[in-house]
Amino acid sequence: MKRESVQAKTKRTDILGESRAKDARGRFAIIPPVAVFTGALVVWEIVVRLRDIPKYVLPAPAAVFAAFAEDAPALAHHSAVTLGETVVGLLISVAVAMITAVLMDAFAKFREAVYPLLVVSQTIPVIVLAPLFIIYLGFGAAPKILTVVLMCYFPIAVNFLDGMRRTDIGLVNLVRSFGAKPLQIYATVKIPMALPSFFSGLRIAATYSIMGAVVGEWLSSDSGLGYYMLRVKNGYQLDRVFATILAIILLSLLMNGIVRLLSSIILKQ
Amino acid sequence: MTDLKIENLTFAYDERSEAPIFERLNLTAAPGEFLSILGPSGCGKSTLLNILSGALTSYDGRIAVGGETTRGISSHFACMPQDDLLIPRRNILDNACLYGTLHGKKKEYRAMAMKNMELFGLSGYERAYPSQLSGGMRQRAAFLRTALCPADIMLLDEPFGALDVITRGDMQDWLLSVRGELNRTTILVTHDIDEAIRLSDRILAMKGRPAIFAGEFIPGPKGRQREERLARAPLWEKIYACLQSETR
Ligand SMILES: Nc1ncnc2c1ncn2[C@@H]1O[C@H](COP(=O)(O)OP(=O)(O)OP(=O)(O)O)[C@@H](O)[C@H]1O
Ligand SMILES: [Mg+2]
Repeated sequence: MKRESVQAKTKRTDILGESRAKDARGRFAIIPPVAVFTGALVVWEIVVRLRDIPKYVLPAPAAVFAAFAEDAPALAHHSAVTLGETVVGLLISVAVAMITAVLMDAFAKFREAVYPLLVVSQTIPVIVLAPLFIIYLGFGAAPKILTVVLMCYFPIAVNFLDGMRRTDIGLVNLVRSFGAKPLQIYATVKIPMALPSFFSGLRIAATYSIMGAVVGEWLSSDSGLGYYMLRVKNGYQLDRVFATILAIILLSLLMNGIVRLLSSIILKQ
Repeated sequence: MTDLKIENLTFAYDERSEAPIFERLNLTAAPGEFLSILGPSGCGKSTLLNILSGALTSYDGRIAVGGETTRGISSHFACMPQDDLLIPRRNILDNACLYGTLHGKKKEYRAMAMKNMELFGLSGYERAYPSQLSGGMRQRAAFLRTALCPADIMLLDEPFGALDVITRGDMQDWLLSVRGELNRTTILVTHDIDEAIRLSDRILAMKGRPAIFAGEFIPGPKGRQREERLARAPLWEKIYACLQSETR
């Protein structure tokens, strides 16, 4: 007995020790990727300068940053348009995903009929559908919002559904035996238990969401980062194309960051 | 107070497997009776409680509460599962008054829960989350949640399983003292022979596959004093012998 408990104790410290080491590593985990990235930028810059590559073929990082700074007002304007489409699209995705996921969880027949179709639909690249949206929805914000929804719906719905379905059946039965009605089961147990999976789906969706809007803007628009990117591309202003790409990356990171912040607040406990 | 009757209960998790967990099992509990079920791990105690609470419905036979047949989830049973199953992102107080929340009587149940926090050794932890509590504290919170659910019959699956001997004794004392107040037919599943003797009006020893009730015992002294503990020893031995013998 005694020996066992001593063993248990040592094991415990081992585990703790490991996790502490991980923590310490975690604090510095950002250094290697930043170093690699900076290194790549430096090599890029040197190659462009040494070989005297013209700006319209490949602009150097310094030129890209300069263009980014110079274009800041225009980029800010177009970012706002893209961000607006993205946020609206993402909110619609969340609403539709939550409702359909709850329906799929509640009605097995519905799930069995719809879920395989959803999975197969993911093999269709949204970009090949986007021209159709323009035909049906015109040139306004609607087709862009729809591309965002199509990109974002699936990861949210699937993760949320999965979270609800993995809820401990014992807990569901317990709440039910306490007299919970079906909607109460979702409100008290299933949805709260599925929130962590919901947020991991939302995080993926948020990262892709900007891309969805940009793809929509490529096809038709008179504003937004996708539109601006095409315009500067057509003028062979490659430094500004890269500056736009940088803006798209920053917006995607922003969306991801907002969702992370939101989930860390909501999932505090 | 209501009585419970189980008639010819037959159940198997997997119909194709050779031996069912139960085959024509019978059980009755008188109104207000405190019945304990002892038995080796895996004999089907939790399964029986899950059938009663309505989580498992694919059984043959009849279950009647107060003479009325029930099947599936019903308001007759308040169940305390073997693992505490507290809701993670709700604090202890909210977990404890789950029944009130579900029936629009949150305020009233909050007050009742608060009154009992001290008794359950949870005072100061009302606003804590389940993940911040020890296993024993979580079990007590789960017990409080079940005790606050006004069903006819309480089903307790190892309610004190994760507690140390002394705390376990305190909780047993508490349960004995509030039995009159709770005033409910209770079925307790436990591994602790002494606990069964202390708490119950009647003890059933379950074993085998299909499981049967191999023995029935009427316990004696309930106290925690040394003499009383010793006075329970002969019965303890008898139950132990019954659980140990032949099948298994
Ligand atoms: N969901 C399940 N599916 C299939 N078999 C199960 C399931 N739950 C339990 N069993 C089997 O049924 C038998 C009885 O299990 P049960 O949980 O009722 O035992 P128990 O008497 O409560 O044991 P313990 O004292 O360890 O809690 C075991 O052999 C177990 O393997
Ligand atoms: Mg069990």
